[in-house]
Parts: sequence; structure tokens; C-alpha cells
Amino acid sequence: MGKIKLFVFLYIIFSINNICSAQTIIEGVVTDLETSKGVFASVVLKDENGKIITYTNTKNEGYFELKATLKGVFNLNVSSLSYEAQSKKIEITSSAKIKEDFILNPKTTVLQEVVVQSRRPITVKKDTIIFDAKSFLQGNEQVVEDLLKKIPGLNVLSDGTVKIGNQEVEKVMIDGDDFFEKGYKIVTKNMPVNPIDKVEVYQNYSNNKHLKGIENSEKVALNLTLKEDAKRIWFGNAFGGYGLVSENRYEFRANLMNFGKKSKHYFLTNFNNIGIDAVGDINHLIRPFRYDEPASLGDNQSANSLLALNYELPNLKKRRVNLNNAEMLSLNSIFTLSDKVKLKTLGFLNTDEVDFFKNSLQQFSVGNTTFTNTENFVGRKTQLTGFGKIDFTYDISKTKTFEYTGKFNKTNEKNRSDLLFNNDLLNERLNANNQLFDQKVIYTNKFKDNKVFLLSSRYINEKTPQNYSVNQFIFQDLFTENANNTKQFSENKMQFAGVEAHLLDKKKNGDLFEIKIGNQLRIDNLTTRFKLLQDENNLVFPNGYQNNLTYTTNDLYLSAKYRLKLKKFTLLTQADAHQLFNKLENFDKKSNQNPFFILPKIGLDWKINEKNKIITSYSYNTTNAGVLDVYSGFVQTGFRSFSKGLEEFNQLNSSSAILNYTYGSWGDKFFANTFILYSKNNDFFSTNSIIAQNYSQSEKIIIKDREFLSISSSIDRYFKPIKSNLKINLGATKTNFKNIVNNSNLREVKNFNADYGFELRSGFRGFFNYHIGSKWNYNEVETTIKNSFTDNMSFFDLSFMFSDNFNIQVQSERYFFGNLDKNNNKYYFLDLEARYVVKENKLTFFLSGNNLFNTETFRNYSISDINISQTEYRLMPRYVLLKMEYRF
Amino acid sequence: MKNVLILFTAILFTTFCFSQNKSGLIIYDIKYPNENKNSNWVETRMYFNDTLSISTAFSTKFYKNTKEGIEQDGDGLRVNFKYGDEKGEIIHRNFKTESILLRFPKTTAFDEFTVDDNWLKIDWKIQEDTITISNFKCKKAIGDFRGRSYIVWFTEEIPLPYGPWKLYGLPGLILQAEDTEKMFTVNFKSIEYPTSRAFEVNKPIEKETKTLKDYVYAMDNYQDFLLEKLRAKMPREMASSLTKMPSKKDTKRTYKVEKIFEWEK
Repeated sequence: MGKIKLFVFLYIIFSINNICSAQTIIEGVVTDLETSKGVFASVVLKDENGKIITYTNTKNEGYFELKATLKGVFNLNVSSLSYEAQSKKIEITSSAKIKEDFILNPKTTVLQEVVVQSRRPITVKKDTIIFDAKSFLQGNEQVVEDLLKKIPGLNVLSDGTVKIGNQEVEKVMIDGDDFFEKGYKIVTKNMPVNPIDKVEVYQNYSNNKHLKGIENSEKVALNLTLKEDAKRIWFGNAFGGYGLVSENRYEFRANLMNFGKKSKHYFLTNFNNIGIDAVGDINHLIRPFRYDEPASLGDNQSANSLLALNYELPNLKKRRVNLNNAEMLSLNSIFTLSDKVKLKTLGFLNTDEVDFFKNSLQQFSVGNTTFTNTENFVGRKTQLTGFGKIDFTYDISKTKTFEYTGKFNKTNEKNRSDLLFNNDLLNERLNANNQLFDQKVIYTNKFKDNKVFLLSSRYINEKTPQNYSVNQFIFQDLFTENANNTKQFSENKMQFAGVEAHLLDKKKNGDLFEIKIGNQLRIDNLTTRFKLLQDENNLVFPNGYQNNLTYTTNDLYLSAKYRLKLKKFTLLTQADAHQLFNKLENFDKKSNQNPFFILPKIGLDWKINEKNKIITSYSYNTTNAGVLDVYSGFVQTGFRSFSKGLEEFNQLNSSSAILNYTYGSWGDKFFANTFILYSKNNDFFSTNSIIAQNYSQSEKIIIKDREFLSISSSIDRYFKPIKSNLKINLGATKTNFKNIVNNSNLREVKNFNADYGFELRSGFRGFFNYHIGSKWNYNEVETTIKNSFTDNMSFFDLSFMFSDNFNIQVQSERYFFGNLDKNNNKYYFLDLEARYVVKENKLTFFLSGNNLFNTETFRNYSISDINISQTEYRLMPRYVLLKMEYRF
Repeated sequence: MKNVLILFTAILFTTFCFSQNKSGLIIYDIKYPNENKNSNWVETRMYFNDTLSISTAFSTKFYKNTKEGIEQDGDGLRVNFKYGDEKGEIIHRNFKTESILLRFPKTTAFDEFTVDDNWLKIDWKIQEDTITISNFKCKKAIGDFRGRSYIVWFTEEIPLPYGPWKLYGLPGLILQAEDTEKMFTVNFKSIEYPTSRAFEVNKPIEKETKTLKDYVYAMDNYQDFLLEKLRAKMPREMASSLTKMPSKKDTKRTYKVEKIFEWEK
């Protein structure tokens, strides 16, 4: 205690002494020699070595005041921009006040300094940023997603979408290897965090590494590098759910993975009967759709299936109508064979069993013919799919790469139905297979810093055999034979061989010039055999109902594209020249055609100012006929329908124009966007059909002039006082075309469709939010008579976020059909999902209730130029599922 | 009559500001910590005369906006925001009245607003080290400001107490600055004095003004304010996808330039 007192005493004494003895105030006024006005100047007191002792600035009228504590001889410097600096020697001896005025002499000062190269610490490699995982881990992370959330600049939305800044990543690689491309959520949501060493971000990412910096890429990608000791450890998780108060409903998912330096494995599985598409996550790996990407040659080529049992579904959430039972297992591995060689294998097996229930009533009215058909349809589809894919990459040198991709797919599909058609009970059987064999080779050579040459070639072989039988004969009006059942075999065998050379040249100013030259050969064999039977005995293969044709199209093309950017305009010009060689062999009848045409396309983006933006484009298209346009015999496409092609070659011409106008921007209080599409077909395929109660037969015909106009508009207005956004949608589509029905003259069909609706959605920061909306849809079809109807759909959703660990979502919907009878025109749905996290990323429970009002059927209404139909579907009944997720 | 008098005084005052029309322009490149690690260098233009220094960043006059809007991107939606408008983000300092006024552009979360900041004097410790930046001999100084410690380089060859962002008060212009965590960095790019370019000397005025405390609260909870507006604009299919944002609330203000405010000490 005494010690402290003494210390305080000494401290006070010392302080007072200090203040009293050493404070010298230096003050003065700095004025301009010419105007005598005060000058804004810097006043610095320096010692004789030039060390700054203290400093200040002049205040009002040039007055300054400095406090000095040292004694001795000093320099008092006064300087101001555009004045000659002055320095006065002063001696501070005692605690007196020193007064020194300065009169500054104006001086012309010119400073023109530009740093050519700012000194910057090197923090990032060009286009790559590397984060050390250690420095972001806090210990409670389980999966990759949790780590990514902690890295500044990376955003992970709750659905698992990973964004860098505001842009979604293209893929998430593991040690440079990519399993699922855009399906990366499988990895980020399931892979544990401990083996990760670093997270790398690639900006301006290109799927082909040699195109980096050349194609105009804004893609970003992530790479997770693994720790050396993280080899050969298996991780995984499992997710299971089971129905509580309903019939047997379940969902089960599991992931198992192992990442080594030399080989990596990822296995996943999904079993469910609650309407979820089990293949969904990896579907795009089978048939990738890469729009406008180099080496995407052949992505748009596939064989046709002529027949499908009538499975169209109402416009409801897929989980309401997909009465499935799916099982899926997928095995994926990547092997690094050497520094330059990599092998990736992917395989999956999927089985699915889907049930369909449909009752429909169709009232036909064409000219003087009117009749009504009823169909009560109960069907089941059983499907087995096996898929395998191999990717092989060989880096020949730093600038050259060779890639091979091979794919094999086999689908066996069995369909059966019991169909009560008017008073006949029909059994339909359809066995449909798909066999796909796809090989692609790409050679890339970056022969100059800004020039890349790609050579790609592809061979696809696909066939779709179908066996269809109906155990009743309802075509007495078409055929005189005394048959009692029918069968049809059909197959489209497609072979595609293409080769393409592509040159990309990035100009110094950033404009990109592209030129492509290629040849694509497609050979289609179409065989169909329709026969009439009496019991098991073949009666006849009716004339005009058989096809055996080979259609060969060879397209030699040259395409040039240039993208030019001016200040407020971006201009895209493209021209494609095609030389076609078409050859058709139909029952030994041969014909040839070699048309040549040029397709121009021009696009212009104009940013008028910050608020107003316009995007326009115009293109002229010529479409070559496909195999389904040229066949000559009727093909059965449904239990009572037949159709046939045109029997000859043709190219259809059309032009289309697009205009998009945007006012404001998405984040503004007011935002409006309007889109107009107009297209005109100079000639187009229409149909000449015969419609009767038990059959319909339509053949393709070419008609001139079809017009299509579509306008859609959306308006957003945010209301701050109620923290809610009002959205208004308006849209209208109009098409006019002509067709022939039951030997009529060419008759004009006018379709008009309009929809309008609103939505109001809250953005409260509290635990509660709502979203309400309603949408009307008006349809009108006009031939000689006019039919129309108006439907409505309304929804009301609520969200409760009680905490980060507990939340509930409620969604409700009401459907109203204007032209249905009062007892059947309203449908209500209620769904609920609750989520409770017991231990973050270890154990989570879900309770999900689907279709809680237990609406079992759903009826909708539609009109066309020949009929009015009402269709009733059976829906996924009410179920409540208790789900659990566990990680290991 | 009274109004006329006020107007007259106002005009007189404005003229006074112009009285010494010698003004200059300094351009800095600034990297802020609160953005991505890979955040861009933001060009900041600071106009000055003998009373005022007016820093402007994110002005569309010289700053290129990134694209914005919402677009379909594979399975998800991509949301692009922009920051900045014609006036830009302004730090308006008057050394005569010792006042500092901030002006922020409109964002998705907030409309334009101004903030009256506190005029804080930084207690600089001038060091002996010197370097040369673009022919200017610079001295080193170290000072703390709102939770970060800054190492700055200033030159007595330009005897103005100005500097980038909210750093000022040395006997010479600050050309370069960096905090000790290397999160906030300023590089000198160019100076032009006198400059013939005209600039707005008056204090920026916006409909909305926030107190400094309100501003700090708004920035601390920016994600929540943003979410409030975004949620209202989401399509129905995305009912629950925005209900939980990444729990990245930066309570320690690790990625903010200003970490501790006067009243929080």
C-alpha cells in the first residue's frame, strides 16, 4: 500500500514539473505577401539535423500555434503549396511564448507526377488466388461447404450453390480432378474438410485449359488441394427417411468417398418412392449441353423415339405427380497414371418404376363431325438404365493436349397399360430400348499466345428399337381385314460422324475472332413395320404403313464469328455457310439434293445509359429436314394415332427478331423488363389430318407463312414501409397458322394466350416471412368456331425461422379451372417442411409433410383446334416423412 | 428579406471557397479489406484546394461498373450487384471547419445517404525512414485510427496535411499507406497541380442522412439489410433457399477498415 502511495506522489510531482517546465508556445501568423491574407500552411519545428520535433497547420487567417517541450536551437519551417518555403532559426530557452510571423512569397508550382508502376505487394497469381485452409478453420467445420463459407469472398447459399463474389463456380475440383462438373454440390455438401490443405480459386476459367485467356470466359472454378497424408481414408454420410402416418414412403441416400494422390473414388446411391428424380444430380453428365462452347460438336445429335405411352403430366410440382420407385447407384473414379496421363471412369445403374393414372374426356368438333372419347388409363413404366463413361487425357506438351471421351448407355424400358377406351378395354405393351455409343477425340494446340487451334471429331451410334402391341382392334374403318390385335416394330438407327477445325484468335484490343470449318455426316435408318393380327397369326402388313428408309445428310460448313465492342454498343456478327448433300433411299427409290445456303446473324446490345438497356438480335435460319420429316409410310404413334412425313427433301426458311428492353436494374426500387420475340416462317410443316372416333391420321404438308409473336413484361416495385416487393407479370403469345382437317380446305387456326399475375413477397429480418401470389391464364383457339377459358392459380407460403437450428416452411396452393363444373374446378394443396439440427453437420432431423389436404386427383382443361379435353390425374397421396441425416 | 440575406451569405461563402482557385487532383489506388481477397484496386480521386480535400471513389465517371442483375446460371441463379453511381463514394473534408462528411451511393440495401463523421486527429509518430515515391522524398509515420495501425509515407515536398481515405494530418501529403495486417493498402498513382478540371466543392447533399452510429450499425448488418430486400424479390421456387445466409457475420469487423469506434473503447 505504502509503495503505491509513494509512486502516485512521485508521479504527480514529476508530471507537474514536466508540464510547468517544458511547455513553450510558438505562435504566429502566416500571410501572403501580395494580398496580406492568411495562408493555409504547414508549420514544422525541426532540430538541426532536420528531425521533425512537432508540427501543425495554420488555422483561420493564417494563425498557428505550436507547443514545444524541448530546449535548444531549432528551425521553424513554414511551407505552403504555391509559396516559397521559409525557415527561421529560433531558440527555445524558457517557458516563454515565442511569436514568429511569416510573410510568404507566392511561387508558381506545377506538379505533374504519374507513377507508372504502383508498388504492390504480390498477393495473387494471375487469375489464381490461393487460400490456406488452416488459417480459416475454426474447428467446427465438417464438410467442404463449411470451410468455403469462412473464406472471404466465397459465398455458399443454403441450397449449396457456391459463389465467388456473386458468380457461381463452374466446378469444384479435387487436386485438379473433377468428378461432377456443375453437379459439384455432391462434393461440397458431402466431403469432409480435414484432408484439405488449400483452396484455390481460378478466375476466367476455361474447361479447356488452352483456351484460357482466349475465349471470353467469366467462369470461375475451385480446386481443393489435399494434404500429403490424406490418402486412402474413406468418408461418407447417410440420409434416411420413412413415412410416419402413410403407406410405405421412404427416401435413402448415401455417399462414400476416398481421395488419394494416385486415385480418387466417389460412390453414391439414392433410393426413394417420393417422386424425386434419383439421377438428377448426375443427369447432365450423360448428355451434357454445352451451348456454344468449342468442341461441343455433336452435342445436339440423338436418335428419335416414335412412340411413348401417353404419359404427359399436369403442370404441378414433379413430386406431386411422379409416382415412382427409384434406385440408383453410381461409382466414379479418377486414376492418375502418370504426370501426363489421366483416366476418369464413371458408371451408374438406375432402376425406376413409375405408375400413371389418367382419366380423360375429349370432345372433338371438326366441321360437321362431332364425337366424344373417354379414356381411362392405368399404366406402369419399368426402366433399367446402365451408363458408363471414360475420359482419357494426355498432355503431349505444355501447349498440346489430346483428349478422348467414350460413353455407353443402355436403357431397357417396359411399359404396360390397361386402357378403357370408350367401351373397349385395351392392353398396350411397349418395350423400348435405347443403346448409345459415343466416342469423341479432341486435339488442342495453343500455337501462339493468343491463338488456339482445336480439332475435334466424334462418332455416335444410337438406336431406339420399339415393340408396341395393342390387344384389341379398333381400326375397322381403316382396314377391312378381320383382325383382333395389332403390333408395330419401329427403330431409328442413327450414326453421326463429325470433324471440326476451330480457330480462335484473340485480338490485342480484346475482340475475339472465331472461324470454324467442319463436316458432319448423319445417317438415319428408319424401319417401321405395322401389322394386323388375328390372335397370334399375322394377317397382313398393310400397304402405306411400312417404312424402310435410309436418310443421309452431309453438312459441310464454314462459320465465322466476330464480336466487337464499341463504347455503348456490343456488336456480334456471325455468318454460317452450309453446303448440304442429302440422299434418301426409300424402298429402293433413291433421290439426291445438294442445296447451298448462308445463314446470317447479327446482334446488337446497346446500353443507352445507366437506366436503359436494349438487346436486339436478328437471324435468318434454314432448317434441313430430319428423318422424321421425310418418311413415307404411316407410323403408329399412339393407340389411335398414325402419322407420316413428307416423303421428300426440303429446307424451311424462317427469320426471327428479338428485342429486350430493361429499365432500371434488378436491385432498384423500380425495375421493368420487356421481351419481344417475333418470328416468321416463310414455310413450315403443318398437317393434313383425318380425325375419326377410333383413329386419327396426319401427314406433314408444307404451308407458307406462319407468324409467331410473343411479348412478356415484368415489373418489380419494392415498398419500403412494408418491406415487401410487388411483382407484376404480363405476357401474351399469338400464333397464326393453317392446316387441313378431314379434307377441309386450308383453314386458319388462331391461337391466343395471355397470362397476368402478381406476387407480393416480404423481406422481414425477423423470424417470419410470407409470399403470396396469383396468376391468371387465358387461352383462346379460333378456327371456324372460337373456344376460350381462363384458369387461375394462387399460392400462399409462410416461412418461420425460429433459430439457425430450427425452421418451418409452409406452402399452400389453390388451382381454379374456369371451364370445369363447380364440383371439380378447385384444388387445394398444403405442404410443410420442418428442419431441426441436433448437431451441426453431424445429425439433423427433418419432418416433411406432402399434400396434407390429401388431394387425390387433379383435373385440368385444355383446348386445341380440334378438341376440348378434360383430364383427371391421380396424385401422390398425403404422406409425412421423418428424415434423419448422419455423417461419418 | 431574411431569406435573401441567407442566400447572399451563402453565395459569399461559396465564393470564399473559390477565392483561391488553385486546386489539384491526386489519384490513389486503394484496396479495401472488406471485399473479396481478390478485390480489385479501386481508383480514388482526391481533389483539393487550400481548405478542402474531396475524395471520390466508385464514381461512374471513371469507375467501370461490373455487370449486375439476376440471371439463370445452370441449376442456380447468379446475382450480380453493382456499387457506385455518378457522384460516387465521397469523403468531403473541410480543414478550416474541421468537418468530415461522407456520402455513399445507392445500393440494393440502401438509398443514397450522407454521414457526418467525427473529426479525429491521428497521433502520428514520425520515423526517420525515408523512401522515394515517384521523385518525392517521403518520410514514414505510424499512427492508429479506429482499430488499425497504419504505416504511411508522406512527403514534405507537398506541404498539405491531406491524405487518402480518412488518413490525414501530417506536415505533408500522404502518398502511400498500409495497415499492419496488410488488409488496407493505398498506392499513389498521380498528382496534377494545378488542375484545370472543375469539381464540386460543396458538401454533398442527399435526402437521407445517417448518424455515424446508424451508419456503423448499417454496415455491421449489411447482409441482413440486403437479405431483407432480396428475399422479397425471389421467385417462388426459391422459397427457402435464401432463408439462411452463410453465418459469416463479422462481429470482430475483421474485414472492415474501421474496427473500433470512439464510443466502443
